Amino acid sequence: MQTHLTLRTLKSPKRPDKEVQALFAVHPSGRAVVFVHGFSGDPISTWSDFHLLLPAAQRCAGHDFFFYGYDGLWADMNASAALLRDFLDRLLGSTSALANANLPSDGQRPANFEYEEILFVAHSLGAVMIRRALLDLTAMGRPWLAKSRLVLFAPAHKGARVVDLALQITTGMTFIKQFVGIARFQSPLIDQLKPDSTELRDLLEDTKKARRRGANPHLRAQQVVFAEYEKIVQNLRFADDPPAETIPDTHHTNVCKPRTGFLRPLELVEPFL
Amino acid sequence: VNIRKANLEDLVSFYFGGERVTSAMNHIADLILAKGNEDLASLLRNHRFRSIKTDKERYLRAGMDDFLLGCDVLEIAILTGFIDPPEPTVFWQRFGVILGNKEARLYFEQYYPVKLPQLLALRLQGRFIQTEQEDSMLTSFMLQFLALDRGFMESLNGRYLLKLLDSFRIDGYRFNDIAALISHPKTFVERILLPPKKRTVPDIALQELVLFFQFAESLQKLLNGAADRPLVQAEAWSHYSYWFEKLGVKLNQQLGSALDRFLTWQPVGDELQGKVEIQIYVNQAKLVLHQLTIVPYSHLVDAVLQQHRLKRTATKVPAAKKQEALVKPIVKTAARKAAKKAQVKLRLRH
Repeated sequence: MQTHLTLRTLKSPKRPDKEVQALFAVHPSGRAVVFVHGFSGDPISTWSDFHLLLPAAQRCAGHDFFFYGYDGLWADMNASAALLRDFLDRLLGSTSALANANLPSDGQRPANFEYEEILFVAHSLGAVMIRRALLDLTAMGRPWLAKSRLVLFAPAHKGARVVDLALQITTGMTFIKQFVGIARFQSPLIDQLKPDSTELRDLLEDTKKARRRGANPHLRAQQVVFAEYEKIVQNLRFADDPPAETIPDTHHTNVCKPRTGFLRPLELVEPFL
Repeated sequence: VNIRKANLEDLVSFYFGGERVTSAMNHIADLILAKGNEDLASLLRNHRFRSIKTDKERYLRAGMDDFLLGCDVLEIAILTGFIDPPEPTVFWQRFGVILGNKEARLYFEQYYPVKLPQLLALRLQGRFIQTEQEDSMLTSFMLQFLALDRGFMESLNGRYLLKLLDSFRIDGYRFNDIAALISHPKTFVERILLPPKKRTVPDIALQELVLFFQFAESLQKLLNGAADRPLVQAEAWSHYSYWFEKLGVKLNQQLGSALDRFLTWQPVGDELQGKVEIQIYVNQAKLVLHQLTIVPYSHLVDAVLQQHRLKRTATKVPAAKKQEALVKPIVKTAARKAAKKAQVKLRLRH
């Protein structure tokens, strides 16, 4: 039985919506999962095959899935995080309006439709973005935050080697570094993702402040996943996040890509769905 | 929720919602209803007989091609039970009017033959009714196919790389110029990493080349997964048959030689591992291309069309005959020239 409508790009001439791909449930259960890709990633291919495996899982039959897209190569990190924040505010603050604008006439949701549970899943730079967006939304006092949880794959919140990552991801060739050596590449993210950058220092301090006396539990990741052969980000613990799970035989880019025969990334997300 | 109705609405919105395809459908339907056969024949002519000159013609013909690509997807969707078979509604009647028109048929059956609109036309006439028995695997296949095709349509269709592979020259560049950029790993990477505003035709085409290899791998994986549904497999492949069948041999050669250039790369250090990994990458990509261009995925679609062609006794459209008569001498001369050239080549070799 078909549980979800076809994958669609949200209808809007403007970014970020026009770069967001969505899988809407045929019979919604009030649960949403928002995926945020990483550096130079793609809304779908970063997570492939989450977009195929999740709709096929029985417990996800009623979930809506959003694969958020943004310029993860050239754009300023904090500016991108602000765009993500605004999108989440619209998606979770006026859910039925956004959903119905993108659903066929036969699949419209009631005007009071909203999500009961929201899961954010982020990879690499996406982890920094979602943390910054959630911190800002916390300061804005958004009530739906209490219903949200966070799962992170290979997070870059402790810094990343951006040039190496750019080489790998833009070509899809994991071997390319061995042939190119040092490449010429300029992006604001190179400085912003240095382990001692102002942006990352602020992110940690703001998180610690917001988490004082156990407040704002949505800012603590429920699950953090490291790649065994990580060469891009620093596999270090952030604030009061739980100790990470490591997936053996993975590297930075494939640690978040479940597929037939390699379901560990999916299994690590499943308890929070 | 009527899921099939919702699916149809989604497909129509994506494949037939664009300005160009809408304009073309309206214009062609209007000409058909007004019996403007000459105008329609002129618009949908074979460009080998008379070249396409005005921007308006190019726009409308591109819209017609969009329409035919959309028809491909509707046909696959009907076969897999993703949408209901055609009914006598205004929506389907409009498709019937265009696909059943003599000039339109010449366009997609003879001048620029595409298979799935022909099958959809047969469905609309009630002459082809086959559908697959629905199950969750088939639904999953269809959702995967649509996700893949959405990526193809948005990132590759009508863009630089495919035009270059189709022998176009853009801003003075041919496909070989793009392939040559692969020879130097540093140039390759620096072009791929250029900021969007600084990118020129070869930079964009190079990025599309990387995307095309990824697309081909996903398509081949999807087709292999549908091996137990040969007609579904055949129809899904036929949607891309312009690239993998009509241009198949050329595509294989051009992309194959582009891939070979990766093998000339030398690791920065003495890393043997890099050499091994690049060899695996090239072999895998070549295997995928070979399978997509050589394996006769579409034979079931061809068989259905052939069967219906046989049923149509001597139904060659008169207009086609006329154009054929015009073109025959040209083809004969071209064939004679080609034969002569081949003989000269042979002589030179010996």
